[in-house]
Amino acid sequence: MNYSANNLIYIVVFGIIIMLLLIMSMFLFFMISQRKKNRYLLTMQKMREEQQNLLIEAAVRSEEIERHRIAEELHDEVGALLSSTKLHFNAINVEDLDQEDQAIHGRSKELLDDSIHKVRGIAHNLHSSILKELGLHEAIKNFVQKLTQGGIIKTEFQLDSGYISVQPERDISVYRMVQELINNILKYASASNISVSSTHNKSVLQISIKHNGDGLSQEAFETLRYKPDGLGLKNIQNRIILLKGSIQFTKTSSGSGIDITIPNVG
Amino acid sequence: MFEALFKSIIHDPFDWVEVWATLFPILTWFWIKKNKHEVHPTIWYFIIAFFLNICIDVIWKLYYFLPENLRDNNVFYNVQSIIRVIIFLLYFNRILLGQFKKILVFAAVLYPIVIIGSLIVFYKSISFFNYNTITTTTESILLMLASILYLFQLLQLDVIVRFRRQPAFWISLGLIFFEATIFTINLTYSLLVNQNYSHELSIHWNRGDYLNFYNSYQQSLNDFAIKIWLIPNLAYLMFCLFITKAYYELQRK
Repeated sequence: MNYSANNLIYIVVFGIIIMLLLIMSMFLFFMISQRKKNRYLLTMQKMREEQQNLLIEAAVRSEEIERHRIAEELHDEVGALLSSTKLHFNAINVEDLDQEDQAIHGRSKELLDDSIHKVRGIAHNLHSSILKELGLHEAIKNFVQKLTQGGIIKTEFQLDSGYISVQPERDISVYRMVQELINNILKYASASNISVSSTHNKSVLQISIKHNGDGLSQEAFETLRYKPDGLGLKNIQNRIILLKGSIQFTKTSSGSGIDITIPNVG
Repeated sequence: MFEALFKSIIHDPFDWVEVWATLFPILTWFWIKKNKHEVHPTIWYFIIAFFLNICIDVIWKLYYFLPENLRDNNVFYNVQSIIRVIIFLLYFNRILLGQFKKILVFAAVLYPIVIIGSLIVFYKSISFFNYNTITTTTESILLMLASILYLFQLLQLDVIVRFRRQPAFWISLGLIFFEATIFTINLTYSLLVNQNYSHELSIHWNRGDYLNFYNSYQQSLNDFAIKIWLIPNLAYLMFCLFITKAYYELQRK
């Protein structure tokens, strides 16, 4: 083969090799840079999530503290005042009163008893000590039964009796979510049957609320929780984020359901 | 004639790689379930390329059976090169953003100027009916540039991109690999096959020296030009496989 022809062939072969080496090194550069960038973005995302969780935790904690404060003030101040009023009220000699005044006295006493009862109920709902005394499931049962007493709404419970609280903070959040959801069902869904069930295993706690009313769909929940007046749903979502759980709303022709799934962390 | 064609397909299937490799992305495209996506125009390139490649290979294999004026398949390479540039530039125009898009548009405007300009200025030595080095080399530069711009855009995005799941990533990778591999061949192919080059040498040489030189020089280069065509064929096969992967990722999306 001629020397010049050889040269041209070498140039072609060398050119191909150089080009392949160039694209290989460029690809290597791309891969390393992309990996670095992704690692940096992941760290940033994690930091943002941690910060968001800290903010949510602080908000949830301050809300809980505020609830405790209001509950204690209701119980200790208003409750004490009402009890004292009742004592004074009882001291009135009803025999000296005429029949009409006796009837007024009796009605006032009933209203006073009702007020004492209501204040105690509100204080109990706001205070999480009920959870410590009864446990999560009994507290939920107690709350739902109290709200639905009177017989208009039928309630059903299938709560996992084997559940033992290991994370009291988590239980408070779950309890608050159930409270908010049940309140919403009573306020907006016009339900006549509510059933609350729970299952629990090593990795997850699942609470399911089913009712025959006009509940929320997942899309409606996603829309409403961003509305400024949807504070309750926002609180639910915050607690879900904090507990790294999930909430699923379902709506069918026969009724609606809410499934809360909370993983066991720590 | 048809017997020769049939024998060639059976005995030298790799000589037909440009035809059967094109079927990989085409079949994948029609096999997968996909939503509307910016990658859609690219399938048209493979459908057109499939028919052009059949013409190229049939002409090559039936070279001695065809009349002399129908023996040249180079025009199909040139047409294919232009279609490849137009379709893939349209595709990159859809996915590139901001500054990257501006650079691409600027380069795309230059493309017809370079092609038409070269045909006008070098009308004596360059023809669209021969293997047009300027067309193919410009194609390589443009498509490599577009692909590199896309990769840089990926690097600049402030979101975590799982690039292995991006059809555009595989298309860019396939194009860069294909165009980089054939770039040197495109650049020098005229020298390898064009007798004009050695003819020009004869101006400075005496006739006897020139004939000796020509016989050995041109023969060895022609042999090499035929052998080296294996590399673009392999690169084209790899390109088709990368695009197949891109279409497959489209289904996952």
